[in-house]
Order: sequence, then structure tokens, then C-alpha cells
Amino acid sequence: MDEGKKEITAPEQAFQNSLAPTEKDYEESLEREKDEETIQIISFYLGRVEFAFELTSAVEILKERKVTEVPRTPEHIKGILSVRGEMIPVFDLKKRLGIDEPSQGQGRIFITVFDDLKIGFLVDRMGSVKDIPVSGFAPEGDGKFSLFSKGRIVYENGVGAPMLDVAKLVNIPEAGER
Amino acid sequence: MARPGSRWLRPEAILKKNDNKGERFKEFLAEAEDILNSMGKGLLKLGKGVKAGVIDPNVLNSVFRSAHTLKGISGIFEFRDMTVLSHSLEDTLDMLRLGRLSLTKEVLGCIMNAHELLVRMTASKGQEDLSKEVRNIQEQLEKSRTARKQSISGQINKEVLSVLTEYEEHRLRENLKDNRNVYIITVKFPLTSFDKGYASLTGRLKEKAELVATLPSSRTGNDLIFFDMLIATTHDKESILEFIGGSAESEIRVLSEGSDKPPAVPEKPEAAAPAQAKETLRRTSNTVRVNIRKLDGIMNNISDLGLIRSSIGKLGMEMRSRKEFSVYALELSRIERLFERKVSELRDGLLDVRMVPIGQLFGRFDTFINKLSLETGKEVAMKTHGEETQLDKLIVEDIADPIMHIVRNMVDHAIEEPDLRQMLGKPRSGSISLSAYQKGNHVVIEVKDDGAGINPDAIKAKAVEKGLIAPEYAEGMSRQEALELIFLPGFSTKDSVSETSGRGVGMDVVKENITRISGVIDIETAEGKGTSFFLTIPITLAIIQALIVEESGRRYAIPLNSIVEIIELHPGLDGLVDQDMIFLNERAIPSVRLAWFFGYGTAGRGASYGVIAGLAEHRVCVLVEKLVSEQDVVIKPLSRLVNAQGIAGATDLGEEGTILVLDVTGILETVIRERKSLLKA
Repeated sequence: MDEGKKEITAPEQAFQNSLAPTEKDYEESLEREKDEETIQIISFYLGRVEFAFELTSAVEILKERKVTEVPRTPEHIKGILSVRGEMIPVFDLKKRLGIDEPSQGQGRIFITVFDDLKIGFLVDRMGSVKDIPVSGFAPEGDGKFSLFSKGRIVYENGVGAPMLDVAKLVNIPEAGER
Repeated sequence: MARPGSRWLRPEAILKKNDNKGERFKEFLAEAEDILNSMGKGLLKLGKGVKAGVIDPNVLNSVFRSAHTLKGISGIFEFRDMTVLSHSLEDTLDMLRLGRLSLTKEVLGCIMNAHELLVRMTASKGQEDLSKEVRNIQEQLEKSRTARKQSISGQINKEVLSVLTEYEEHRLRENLKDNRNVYIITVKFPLTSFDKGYASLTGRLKEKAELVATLPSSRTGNDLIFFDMLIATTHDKESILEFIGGSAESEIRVLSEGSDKPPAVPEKPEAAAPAQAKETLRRTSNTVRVNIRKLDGIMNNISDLGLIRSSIGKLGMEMRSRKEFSVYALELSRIERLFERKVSELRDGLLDVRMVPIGQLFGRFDTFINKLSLETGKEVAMKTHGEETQLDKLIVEDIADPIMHIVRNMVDHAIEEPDLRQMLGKPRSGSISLSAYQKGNHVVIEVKDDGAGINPDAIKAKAVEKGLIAPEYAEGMSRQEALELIFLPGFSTKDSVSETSGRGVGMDVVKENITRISGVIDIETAEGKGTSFFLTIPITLAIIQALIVEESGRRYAIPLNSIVEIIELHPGLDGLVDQDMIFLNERAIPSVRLAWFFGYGTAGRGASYGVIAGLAEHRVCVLVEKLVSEQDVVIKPLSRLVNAQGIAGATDLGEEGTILVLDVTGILETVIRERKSLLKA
């Protein structure tokens, strides 16, 4: 398939792999036996770094569009967006995570859900839906994004992505806290 | 390259699968809530019955049925705690209705505890582990079942007794005990139509007697069917026969006739109790239970129709300017007006559907106040007025908790102990009254107690003590300002353990909840006499008329309800317009430039208009560059994650985009607060 290609670094490889799957990947994934319990995740990119959310938190993905600004709110809240009559807050995820990379082209607004709340996150590019076996998760530990993540996913080729926690990103206080 | 379908981004399809199970569970919870609600009402009636010494069997039966149904449906969803508890409750209720156990205050207390635990289970959606509490209540119920009832030996024909079920026998004995007349009426019907005839007879008989049992008669006839109906009644033989009249051609035998002692009369059973109607699965109510989100969806469509109408209107206007189209333009205008009228009617109809009488909410406080009364040892009675006042269902739900907190605080702190009250010359029982009345586009809800009242000086002292305000500042406060200090966050943290400690909630939370729905809360108090809280809230948030204004290139909507006056600013007004104040009708009203309030620059453009807005007694003047238009908007709340002061929500204007809707009282409060803190500094 890719014989003879010059050596490329692991993150770049992952980047290219995720751009589009190949026939081989597809067939392999169909054959793969699911002995182990898996969790489905959906990944996306901020700059060149890959992140993911659990698929159960995902609601829909929209092309980037004008968001109505809400004054007197923190900088990482871009504003609100009306989606089929519902007002959904949109967070600039790069600002929230402190990632300072410029955007390239049109981004996506990734709408997630937590409890009864819907939240939109502005991201640069979508990745893909993946099945990750439970063994593929590791605690984030002291990673850069540990404050906001549920753990780290480690792919088969060794590259990983932090799996973000919607609740932590929006800083929802524990029930009973006041 | 192959594009594997299921591997790519289709989260919605996957999400939908998981959702159905969740949907059904939610429906189950809603059903459980309804059942527990009517069970609660029944328990209250039984409570009154216990006091009066007379229990209404219909109410007992319906409470029993509720427990039974709850057991069943919770079993389907494997909600183990609920199934176990309602089963235990059902056993106790069964014994009660069969007369094997008497309903004493203690037994009723047990049952009410069980009911409360079930309510808690439903509210926590099955996520709280209440197994310990369940075992506790189960034990209580078991203990209560050991108290046996004395049976009354009656002078009843053995033959009759042998065909009756245990329940029927119990009812028979009860009626004998109550000294009623017991008759056996033999009725006959044509075979082909006996079901209708029988149903009609029992329906009518219900008014005059209790139908204890219906037994097939030994008599036969040509194409006829005979029944022996065992009834108990206060009326005499002749009037019963007369009442049945020719409908059945009956014969009446006396089983037992009561003596001259007047029989005990149970509380009149509600006309709605279908206990002795013929068996049927058809419900008598003709209401539909609807998820309010569906109504929101319909409302969205209606507001879209409104936007479409205005596009038609614009097209018509453009056409009118061209001579060749003017005929069509006229026709288009006519059609547009027709359209608008219909959309308006549709909108009003939908708003009406969302309205519920506030009595629905007030009714829930009966049990709550009873509970508080027991907990604190204080006697409290509740009064209500204006239960028919209508409000949007969502708003009713939003004010439930704030009112609950206010009432709780009243019972905890304001209402005195019975002995103290007596000494003060007040009736031993304190009273809390809930009233509601409509005032224009708002509803005013008054929660009033006849307790100790609030002492403004004590409030000031407490606020200073807690470091919430500076002592010098406290000096200059008016009485009203002092009272409003109770709404400061941090004001009511408990410094001593009270009976209901840990569950008290500050008035700041109450106020926040009310402001969130664009309402205002005011206090009036008289020391020694009592306190009143006035909640002024909009009737519906669904759709309102708004004024669209423009400031620093952005548009905003201000609810017309809250606009008192609009003034045009021109040089001549200089004397009246200060930097921060406007003097109008001898009143100083705080004013603020909208752009500055939101932290935007004004690019040197001046404000041309001042919008004077407010609710109840509070006023603020918002200065803006331009007035754009007036239109109907559907306000959507902002997510609770976005806590923006001065903003009540947003509205989607279709092609014109989404604009923010201002919260006038919020702006006023923020302005006052910020200016005061500047003064302090």
C-alpha cells in the first residue's frame, strides 16, 4: 500500500491515516473480532492535535457559522447559536484549552450534550468515529489537558488522543455545591 | 477508496437507538408522578377522615389501586426499590380496605412516609440508592399490620354471607355498623340488552345507595336474566323502589333495617370516583398529556410562519411601487392580512394550550405544609386564593421551588410556636396564604404569613456582621433597602442548627430563580404581624411583543411589557439628562448607555432615544442610538451555562439573525450595584 514512502513521524502518520480510511482499513475493521468491550469515540482536530469525545456525548456537527455574541461573558464563550429554535452556547475550544494555533479554513461546530445541556464547541476539523477497546484507555495523568479530560486513548499505532470530558470543559459544579 | 458507511460520522443514528429506552423510562416516571400525585390527594382525604372518625371506602380503594398500579409498572422497568416498597404498601392498604386492619393515625403516618419515599424515588429518577430507607419503611409497615381489627359479629344470613367475597363481606359489615338499611333487590333485564340496562341502573343507584354486591339470581324467565343486588342505603325501601322505577321491574327484600340512630355519613364521594362503575379500560377524562417540548416545537413553527408573513408583506410593498403590479400587490396585501389573522389565532390557541391554572401548583403545598408543620412542631394552616389564575406551564414549574423555599423559611423562622402565639394574642395555628391574580401581562403571586415579621434593623445588623455591607453604608439605608438585604448571597447561612437545618436555602437563590424568568420579587412586612412576598412574573415567556433597538451596530429586543415610556433625546432636554440619571416626573431614574453597559464602544455615535423600562416600582433608562421596529418575538432562554447579566434570552429573527433580548430589571440591578460599589471605593 504505502511501501517505499519516506519515513514520517508518528503524529503525522496518524494525521494522514485519519484523513480517509483505505479499503484495507475497512476490511480489517470488519474482520476484527470484537471480543473485548469497546467504546465508540469521535475525534476531531484543534490545529494538528487530535482530541476526542465519547460518541454518546455527540449530537451533531455543523459547518462554522455566525454566532451571536453575548456580552459580559468569558472570552472562551463565543456566543450563542440558534439551532432549530434552541439556543446553544458555543465555546471556542482552542481558547478554552489554551491552544494557540491558527485556524485553517472553515471550522466545524461540534454540538455535544451533557445531562440536559447542549453545548457547541468550535473545532478546526473533524476526525472520525472509532471503536476503542476498553484496554485502549489510560488515565490522563499529568498530561497537558488532564483538567479537562476523562482519560487518554491510545491507538494501535501508539499515537494517542485525550478524551475530553464535556462537563469539565464547561465547568459544571457538582450537584449540591453552591 | 472505499467509504465505509457505518464507520463515518453518523452519530445521530446511533444516538437515536439508545434514546428510545430512555424515552419510555421518562414516560414511566411521568406516569408514576401522576399516580403519586393522586395518591397524595387521597391520603390527605383519609387524614381528614381519620380525624372525623369516618373513612370513605372509595378513597381507600383508589389509594390501594394506585399502589397496585405503581407496583406493576415499576416491575416492568425493573425499578426494584419502587416495586418492593409499593408491594408492601399495597399489602397494608389491602388489609385496610378488607377491614382486617383499622386506619389509625399511626398507620396513616406509616403510609404517608411510604408515599413520601416513593415521591423521592421518582424525583431522583432511580439514581439514588434508597434501599436502606426502603427497608426501614417496610419494617414500619409490617409492624403496623400486626394491629388487628375487632370484627363485629352481625346478624347476617349465612347463605348470603357464603357467596360474598371478603371485600363485599367487609363492606356489608361496615354498613351494618353504620346502621344503614341493607336490601336485596331482585331485578330483571332482557337477555339481549342486560348489560346496558344493568350499567344504567347501577349508575343511577349510586346516587342513593352503595352497591355492595351483585349476585346472579336463581330465578329464570323467558329471555330474561335476573340479578340479586345487595345494597346499603340511608333511604327507605319505598323510596328506593320508586327510584328504580320501571327500569327493571324489581322486587325488594329487606336484609336489615337500621334503627332510629342516625347513620354515620362519610364525606361525599367525589363525582369523579369511578369505583363502582362497570369495568372498563376507557378513561373518563378527556385531557391529553403532552410533553411541553412538543409545544415548543409547534411554537417555533408558528414563529417561522410569522417571519414568512412579513416577507410576503415586504414583497407586497415592493410590488406596490411598480404600476404594472399594483393590482396584484393589492390582492397580495389582502391575503397577507388574512394570513396574519390566522397565524395570530394559531398562536393564541397554542399559548392557551400551555396555560394551566396556578391552583395546580398551590395544591402541592398542602402536603408540604403538613410535613413542615409536623417537623417543626408548629401548627400551620394554608389558605389559597385565585387558584384559577392561569400561567404558562413552564413558568408554573419554574416558580414551584422558589415558593417552596419561601414557605419553608416562613415556617422555620417567621411563624412562632403555638404557645408563644397564644401569649401574643394570635391564634395558635399560624397561617400561610397563597394568592394569585392577574395584572396586565403579569401575574402577581402573594405568599403571606402571619408570623413575626422582619425587623429591618436586625437585618442591617446581620448584614454588617457578616461583612456583606459596610457599617457606614448601613446607616443611610432606607427601610425598603434594608429589607432587600436578605437577597444578598451569603446572607442566610445558618449560624445555628435548626430542626430543618441543612435544607434551608438562601433568599438569594429564590431571587435568582425569579429573575431568570423575568420576574420581580418584593417584600412587605410588619413587625409582629407578618410578612408578604410579592412575585410579579410574566404570564408567558413564550411569545411577546418587543421593541427592536440598535446600538453599536448590533440589534437588541426589549420586551414591550416592561417599557413604560420612550423619550427622544435632543439638546433641549439637557437639563433633565445627567450623566447617570434622568429626571422625569420628579423622579430620578438611573440611566445607562446600552453600549457601555455591554462594554462596547459607541464609535462616537450619540444616543437618540431613552427607553424607560421597569417592572413594579423599579425603573431604569436605557439609552440607545436607534429604534428599529416593533415585533412579536419568541424568546428562547439562554443555556444556564451562559450567565449574562441584563439578558433575558435570545430570539431568532430568521434572515435577520439571532438577537439578544434584554432583561430590564437585570440591567437596573447591575447598574445600581456597580454604581454603589464605586461609591464605596
